[in-house]
Amino acid sequence: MVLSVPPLAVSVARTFGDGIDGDRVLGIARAMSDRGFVRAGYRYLNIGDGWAKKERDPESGSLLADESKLAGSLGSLAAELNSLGIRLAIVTSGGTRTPNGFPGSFGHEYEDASFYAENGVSMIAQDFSSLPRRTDTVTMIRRTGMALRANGDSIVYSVYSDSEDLTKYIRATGAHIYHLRPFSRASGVIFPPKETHGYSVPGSLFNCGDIVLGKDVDKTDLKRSLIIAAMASSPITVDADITSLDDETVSLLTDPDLTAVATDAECRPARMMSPEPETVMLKVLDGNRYAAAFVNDTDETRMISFYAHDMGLTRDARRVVAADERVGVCRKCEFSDDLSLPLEKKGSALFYLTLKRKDGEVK
Amino acid sequence: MIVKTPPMGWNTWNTFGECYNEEVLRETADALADRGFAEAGYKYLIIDDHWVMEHRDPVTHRLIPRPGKFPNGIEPVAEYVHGKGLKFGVYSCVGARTCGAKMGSFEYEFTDAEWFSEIGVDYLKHDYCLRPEKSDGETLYRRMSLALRDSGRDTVFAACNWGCDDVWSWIRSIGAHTYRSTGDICDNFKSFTDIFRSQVFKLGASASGCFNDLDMITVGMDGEGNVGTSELLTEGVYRIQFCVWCMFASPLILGCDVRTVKDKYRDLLCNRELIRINQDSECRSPFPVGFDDSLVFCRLLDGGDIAVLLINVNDNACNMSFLPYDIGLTEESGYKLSIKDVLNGDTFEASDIMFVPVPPKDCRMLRGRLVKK
Repeated sequence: MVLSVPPLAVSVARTFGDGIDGDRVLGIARAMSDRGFVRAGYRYLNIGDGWAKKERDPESGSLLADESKLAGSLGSLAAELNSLGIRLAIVTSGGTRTPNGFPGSFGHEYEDASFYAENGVSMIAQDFSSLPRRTDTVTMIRRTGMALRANGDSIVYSVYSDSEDLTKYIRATGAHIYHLRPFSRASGVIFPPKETHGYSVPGSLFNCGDIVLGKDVDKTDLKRSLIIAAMASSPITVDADITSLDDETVSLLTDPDLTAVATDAECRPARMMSPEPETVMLKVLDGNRYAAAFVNDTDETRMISFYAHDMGLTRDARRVVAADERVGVCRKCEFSDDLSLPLEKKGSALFYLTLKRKDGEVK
Repeated sequence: MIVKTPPMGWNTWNTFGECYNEEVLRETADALADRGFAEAGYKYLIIDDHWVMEHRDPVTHRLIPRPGKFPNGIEPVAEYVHGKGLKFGVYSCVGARTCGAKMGSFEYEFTDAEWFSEIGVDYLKHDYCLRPEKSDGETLYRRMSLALRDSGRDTVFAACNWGCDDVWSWIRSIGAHTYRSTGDICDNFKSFTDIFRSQVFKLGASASGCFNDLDMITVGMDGEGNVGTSELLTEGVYRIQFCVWCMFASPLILGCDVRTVKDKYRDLLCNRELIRINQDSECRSPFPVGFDDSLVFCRLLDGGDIAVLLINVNDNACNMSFLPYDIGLTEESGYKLSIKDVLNGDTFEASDIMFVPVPPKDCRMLRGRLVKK
């Protein structure tokens, strides 16, 4: 399976922990549909690890779904989600135990992959923090990757591990997504590390981190996180009880320009055009368009500049750059030297850039 | 434009250097179309260095095709190539001059891209010579990428900075579709083995949209031509080269004289099963298995298949080992590998360690599929 653009997902793995049940999951799924998430491209719902029983079947060794919690089988829950245009994602472990203490897949990779396929699972978010210390993480990821392939090769495989070897080798393992921290520490979006930048490519994408939201959402912070993730061509996972989020937050999460930049068909990573913490990221988009994100990660207002020269504009171009700010703002301007704007602390701004012939010049 | 799988084509450099003209290109286009290369996927006919003059047109500032090579201009060549169902590629350079001291595109990127678009260029190889010493290479490549995209014509942008400046870490972000990762290839064993060995641990950055280019293939040159070194390579050595290029998902840009190349090399270069591995839609990177000196590579393919390449660089035949455990297959998995030798069609099965006989200075390419025991 080729994962050519980053998937967008809603998760309750951290918000509900192991306290999920069938009604809560379906309530979230209906909210995804009713509040515009599905329309915006969020196609996965991660229900965490609380769907399982604490122990495997003593005879077959198979995973067991807690059907009293789910009010049915895992497969029937997946089918109900599918009817709403949503795919089922779960949290698993490549080690001995999942984050909330449910059975891990270590030594059971092939039978678990078969279980996922039989029960309609479309994505696994696999944590490696409980992997026995004297094992090779990349080999273990490769094993699950191979097991998923043996069972139809239709499940998105997302890895959370702080293994030093992960960046260079992840692409050869069969994983589709990787994050460089364990699942328990993967909340909050980070800039892709410089040494990771070139390795985030279609088919094996770097995950900048999951966005975990409580009831009081800092909109400035959320906008910055979403812009960084979208620019990095990172999967976006929003871990929240989306039924209780305010409309402004939902509107940010489902912003059509943010999701369009995130899932752009070329799936190129953005380039930092100046160093953090006050930076501009530039991303080449499909169809001769560009996205520029201004990000102020300091605690004071800063003036941030982006230069047409750095984008590649030359004196023979006879072009200006048309800038069109989006995400809650509608502001247009043109520049041929630089675009400078003051940004409040932790602020961010997203622009579409296109080239435009200078007035009066005809091709 | 999204380049989903490695581009395939032919380039003037390896065989002709600067000694080519319109007639050679027409005959090459004929050979690509008539000898089965185009049907196998080789679609780009690319003119390398030395095709333009040392100065620009004083009025239009455009590049000038060399009249000695192209008395009728470049447009009839492009039309002829397109008429054969092929695509047309040319060469330029980020610097003020090309590596062969002809006009480069420095500070004329938009002028050149606009002209390339008008004459129907589908592929641009962009070299790295004679740029200002203090210039920023990344910015120079970004310029031509911007200009090509602005020109409105879908053009493969093949950056050729020889692997300098940690190119793998930024080249995808500037919009390039391929990137050369090493210095130039020569038609000898050391040259191409040095090239691929240097890239084994850098292949994680190569994928759909932007591919690591190991340079033009020398298979079939038989020691002659511009990059020939009078070393006559064996069929087995050429087999190693082509199998590595396929396994590493490198662009397949031929450099031999396709008009006259021997049928046995034409057949190797057009081997559908090898090309199928090169063009696999997942474009995953291969990974080495076994111990340090072992040249055994595995690669996951779309649909659950795997490819295994075993390379024997020694002068003696040997049994090379491959342990399915290393690719994630365990004894208790309930699966075994059903394997086909891509080159000779032999089939066998394996769930435990395999010992594969490989002739001296030769290779075996296997394609495996997981099947239940």
